[in-house]
Amino acid sequence: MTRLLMLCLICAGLTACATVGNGRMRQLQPAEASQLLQPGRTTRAEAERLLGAGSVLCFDSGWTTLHYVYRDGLPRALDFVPLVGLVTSAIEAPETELVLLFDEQGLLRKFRLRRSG
Amino acid sequence: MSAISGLLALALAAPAELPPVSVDGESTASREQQTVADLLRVLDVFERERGQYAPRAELRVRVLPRRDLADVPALELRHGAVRDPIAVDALGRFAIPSAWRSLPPGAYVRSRLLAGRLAWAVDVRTPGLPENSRRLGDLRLECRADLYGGALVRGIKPPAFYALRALTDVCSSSQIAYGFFADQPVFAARITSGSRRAELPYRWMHGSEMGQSSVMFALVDWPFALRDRFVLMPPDKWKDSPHDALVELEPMTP
Repeated sequence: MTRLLMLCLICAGLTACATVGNGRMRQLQPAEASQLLQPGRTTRAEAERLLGAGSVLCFDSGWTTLHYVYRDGLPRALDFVPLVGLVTSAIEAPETELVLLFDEQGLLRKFRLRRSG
Repeated sequence: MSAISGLLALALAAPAELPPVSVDGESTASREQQTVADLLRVLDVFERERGQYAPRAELRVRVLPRRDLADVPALELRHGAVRDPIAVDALGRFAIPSAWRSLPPGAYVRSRLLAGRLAWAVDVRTPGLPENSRRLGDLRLECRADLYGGALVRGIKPPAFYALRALTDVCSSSQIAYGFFADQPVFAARITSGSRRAELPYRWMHGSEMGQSSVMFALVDWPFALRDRFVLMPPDKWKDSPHDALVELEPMTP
């Protein structure tokens, strides 16, 4: 029974998906992204209202990045786990990623939408 | 009253200016430094392996402010009573002259900055590359010259690292994370080789997977002033790409 439960958990893990944000960026197309996100005008607060809370990284310069990712399959954080990462990093899974760069005033300077898999 | 007038008389009798006094001494606080022996180990690996990875490349050692970009490295070559200043270029780099092989064993390169203020790195560059790009073979040789040579870069190296290094090439291993610093804050990186072009996922930029703070940060170079320049090589180290592939770096500012 325990083995069956473990097997179910592993299967569930392998078919899982991981999202950062409100999920909107999952369907986000480049044209729509260019409409929603305008360098020099869009603020971080506006971006978060559109896309939900992303992963924030602050630099000493005062600039920040906001990172959103949607991924089918195992969370990529597992890539950084010794030995486990050996397996997970080799597994290709569809991934959509949006990175926004804000200056020290909180204004969008650049963004990048990447799809893989 | 007589005491006060005595002091006043003394003060009036004192010379207007005291003669200058020179004091020789040096703080015992630990400073940023590398031994010349370690720098020569970097040079040894570079000379031995450049034909394989980067035949036209030049080797430098790079010093970057680790905590505060306003820090000035101010390097000196020291041995015995000798104190020779070392000039660094605009990127904070200096060459390792072959003549250093004849220096006494205790020779070292020292900064005026306190220990922990600088990041040291091996810098291998093939001249003539497009702006904001690095050649993959150069980066691979940087890794080799550091991890098999002078070990200038701070890193977390448990016993398993040394075991792995003895058994395999850690610079192409998915188990070892190794990165480099761009010359300016960088937003994205992509590798190009012929018609192949691949964006580097953000998890390999800026140490983003490590979050904003960690107790591990004290053990590595990138989490502070240099974080916005840090690019981590992906776990496969772009294994299928040739040494001539270019890593294009998109600066944060136009």
